[in-house]
Amino acid sequence: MHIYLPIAEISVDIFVLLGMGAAVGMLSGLFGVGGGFLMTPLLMFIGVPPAVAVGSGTNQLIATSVTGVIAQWRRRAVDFKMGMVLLAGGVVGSTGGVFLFQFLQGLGRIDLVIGLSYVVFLGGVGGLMFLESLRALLRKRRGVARRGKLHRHTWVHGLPFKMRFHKSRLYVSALLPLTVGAFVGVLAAIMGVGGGFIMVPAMIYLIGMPTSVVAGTSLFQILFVVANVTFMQAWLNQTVDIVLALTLLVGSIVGVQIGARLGGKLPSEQFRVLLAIIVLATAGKLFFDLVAPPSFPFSITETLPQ
Amino acid sequence: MNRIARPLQALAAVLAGLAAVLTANLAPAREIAADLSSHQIQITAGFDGAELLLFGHDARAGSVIVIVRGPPKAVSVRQKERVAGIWMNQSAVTFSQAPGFYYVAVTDDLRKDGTLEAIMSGAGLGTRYLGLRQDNNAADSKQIEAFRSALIEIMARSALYAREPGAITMRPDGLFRTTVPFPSTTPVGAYTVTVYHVEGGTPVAGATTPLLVNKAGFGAWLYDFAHDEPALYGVVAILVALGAGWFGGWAFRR
Repeated sequence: MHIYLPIAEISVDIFVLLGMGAAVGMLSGLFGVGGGFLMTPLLMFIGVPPAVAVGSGTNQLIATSVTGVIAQWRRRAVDFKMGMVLLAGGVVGSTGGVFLFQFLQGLGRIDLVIGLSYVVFLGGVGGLMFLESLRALLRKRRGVARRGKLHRHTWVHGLPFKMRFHKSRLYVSALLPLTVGAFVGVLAAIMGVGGGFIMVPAMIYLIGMPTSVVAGTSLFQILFVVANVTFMQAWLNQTVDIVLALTLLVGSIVGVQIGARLGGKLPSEQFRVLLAIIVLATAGKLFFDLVAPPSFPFSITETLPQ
Repeated sequence: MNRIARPLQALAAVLAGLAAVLTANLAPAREIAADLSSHQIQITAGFDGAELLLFGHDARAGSVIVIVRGPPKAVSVRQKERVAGIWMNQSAVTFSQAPGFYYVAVTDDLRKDGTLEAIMSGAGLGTRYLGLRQDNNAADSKQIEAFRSALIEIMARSALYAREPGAITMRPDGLFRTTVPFPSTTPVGAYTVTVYHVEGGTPVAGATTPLLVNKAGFGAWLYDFAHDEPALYGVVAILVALGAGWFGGWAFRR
């Protein structure tokens, strides 16, 4: 059964969309990631134009992150102050990112930049995650628990404009979360992702937040960043397809529940190796697409008459 | 009286002569008539392509060519080249008047060795002889030719351009028919369907009939909304997703 997507202007099998939503949703449920990094490339693969894939992907992410934020908020695991500072950066970054997207699209370079961003960031994070989780697995086998230093003083702590974050028990420069937020905002606009895969490690290793509030706080900021990207893409480029977003959503709501239930049955270390492999495979596929000689080197885009 | 009547008579004679000449010129055009099973294709939520029946009558039961042209668009064709190991878009050529859809159908007698090619190229019919004009003259003609064929190839891959002419069934009594296939990616806009009859190797435009492809129903409304009120549409998109996410969480918590 086909469904015509009015903004993407293509007709797609509705079950393909529901299946994609369910598969990515299952991943979200299993690993607590948004799954945008898989959704956007998948949408482009089935023929959705890149701009519509990014715009509608972020629209769908609003729904997944609001579900997550409500759950985390009930557990009181959201540092709102930190979230607001991250968000201030995120709004600036994602707004700039949407303009950058529009500019690159005009140059015919957007596919390349999307591809490169995926390879660099997914490949990097996936690689680190893979090594980290392997090391954790080995440590567990050996049964040795090494304890790290509680506080390490680095250049990060010498930055000005220090702020106190009670919930995170931190006293750090506001510049740090601002920069992290802005950077992830740009990625959100260009890659059509929430950016959790960058945000979470940055919060833990760079800002030094306790892991208990990391997921809730990153979801809180992602919610507003993806809402901003959705608005900007709709307003500037008219590339948000509500029909596409809602269809994906129906699949993902079900998928998340299945994933969350499966999640309880796997040990967490093996789990992270699995996620790392999925992330690396996505990056690998996009890397291959960039370096392999294309079967047909030409592409067309409709341009507005001058 | 005579002084007025005579010039009037002369004028009447001239007019009659003119009319005779005009109708004589128009006469061949009247010998061919065609119509579509529908003059409108509506793209609704379940749209997955369409087929229209084109039927008509040719008094001579001769050779007929049917061309369906979609709305012209400016299309940029980009070529990927290898730069530092990565394949990226490098050169681009823009064709300002490329039809969004192009379909050709011919009667069987035209498919004889080489005749069709000669007839079509002579009249500028068929995708290869469309005379697609490029905007930038910087590239040399050989390069432009490569981009032009690439455009035709890409459009043919999505079934928007006819790779091979379709068949027109011509009956001995002059009735003919053909089906025109429209893929799911059919662009919206005003189309023209022209029926030519071939005389001495030259196609002469006979009947022309219009066709309109438009979005209809909820999809059309949504598309207009997104383009007419983009800011409001953005807010609605956010609210809808928020509502759906909240509802999803609530539904499964119980």
